[in-house]
Amino acid sequence: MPETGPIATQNSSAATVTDGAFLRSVAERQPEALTALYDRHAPHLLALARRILGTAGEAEDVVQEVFVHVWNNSSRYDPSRSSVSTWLVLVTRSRAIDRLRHRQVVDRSHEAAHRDAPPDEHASPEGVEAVLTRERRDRVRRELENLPPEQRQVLEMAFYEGLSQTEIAARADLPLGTVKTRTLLAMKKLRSALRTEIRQLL
Amino acid sequence: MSQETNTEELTILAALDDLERGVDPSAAERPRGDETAETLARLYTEVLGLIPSELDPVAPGAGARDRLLAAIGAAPAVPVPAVVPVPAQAPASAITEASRPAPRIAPGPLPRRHSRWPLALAAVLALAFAGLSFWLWQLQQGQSTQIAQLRRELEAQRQLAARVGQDSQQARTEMEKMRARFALVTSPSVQVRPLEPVGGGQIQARGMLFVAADHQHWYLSVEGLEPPKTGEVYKLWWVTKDAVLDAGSLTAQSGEKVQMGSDQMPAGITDVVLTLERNPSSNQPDGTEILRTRV
Repeated sequence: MPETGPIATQNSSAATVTDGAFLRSVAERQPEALTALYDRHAPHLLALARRILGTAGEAEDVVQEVFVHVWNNSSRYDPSRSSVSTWLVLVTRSRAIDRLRHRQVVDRSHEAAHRDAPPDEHASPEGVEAVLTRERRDRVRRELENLPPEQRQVLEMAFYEGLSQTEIAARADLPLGTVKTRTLLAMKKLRSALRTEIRQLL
Repeated sequence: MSQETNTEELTILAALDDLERGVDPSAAERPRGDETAETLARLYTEVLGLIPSELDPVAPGAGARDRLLAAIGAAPAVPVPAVVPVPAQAPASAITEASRPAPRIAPGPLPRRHSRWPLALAAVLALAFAGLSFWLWQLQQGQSTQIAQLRRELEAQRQLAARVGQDSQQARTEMEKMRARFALVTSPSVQVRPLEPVGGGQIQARGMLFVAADHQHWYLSVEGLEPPKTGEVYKLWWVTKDAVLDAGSLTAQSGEKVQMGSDQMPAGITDVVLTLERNPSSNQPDGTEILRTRV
């Protein structure tokens, strides 16, 4: 996820502006600030929406809704509670899960196929992705992969499928206490392993 | 389990509960806990926010920015170079690499799905609103017509009531007169004088004069008079020693009883005469004498 601290490029002054500053400009009804946030975060939010929904079209719709929500609710954002990028992620996730819950059938194989799809299907913008963003992605992916499979499973079911602890317990045929324990352990490990990334977001 | 661990786990579970319910953790209006809980909540919120960082980014479709601008009611912006995000504390090699010109994000070949239902919904709502507005206008017109009609009816009722009122008043007046006449006629001290035909004229005519004891109130009843010709009128006269005074005119229909009365009568009357005058405004009896009585 792109950095929220000071950034630098050779051309655009927009690149040196933090997410927080963009959001304040959005609150002052400056559309260019919204599009700047969009350019910075949409690729990752689209990836998240696609991971949850499995279709590109719906993912685009969700991300569009998220930024319209940002436009209309920027004044409600509290910087002491989360970084802008985390706020965008959680709003995107929430919208995508809402759509998912309205569907009758979730094609899990379709999700998996998209996840492992060749680069041209993702249209992954390698050329524009910053090194450190890539590094962050690799680190987070590695730490998730380092989690015991059972802990990663409950975390992904909660995050990407929107299941409650009770629903996870039912689907995985596990006691609720076990699900809670695994989730707690996974979250604590991630907090410890991603300390650097978290510090960058605070 | 220590208090700190307990707080941490409760915070994690609360964050997951918010996640499951779709609660916005960044919303300013959400209730706050103590400092430790708030700090932990922030940390674990960021953990959740980092999870999807594992995913490969996906380029937005062509025109996505313009659609966003249209959605918020702003004109599409002039294309600008894409922002290349580099953290401030990045190492020198990374900065060098990041300082290369950043090409625009290529449009993705992925098919886009336009959501058309909002437009259709807006059209349906617009039609429904137009229909509702027309119906309300019609209703209002109908009500205005009703109100105007009711106003007319109310006015007619008022007029009728006024007439009834007048009629009532008239009836009360007449009744009062009749009461007075009855009292006069039935008074033990009333003087009664019959009026007899004179000169062989209208021999069928008869009259009765009632005079109260005060010689002021009087009542005359005459019947059998022939209807006067056009321009002619029956008149009553008080005859005294010195003069003949006009007591008033009578309107006579064929065979109909004619009544007259008043609460004034001159003094010294010797005779009462009824004549048929050709000049209604004459102040002396010039016409034919029809009835007479001595008082």
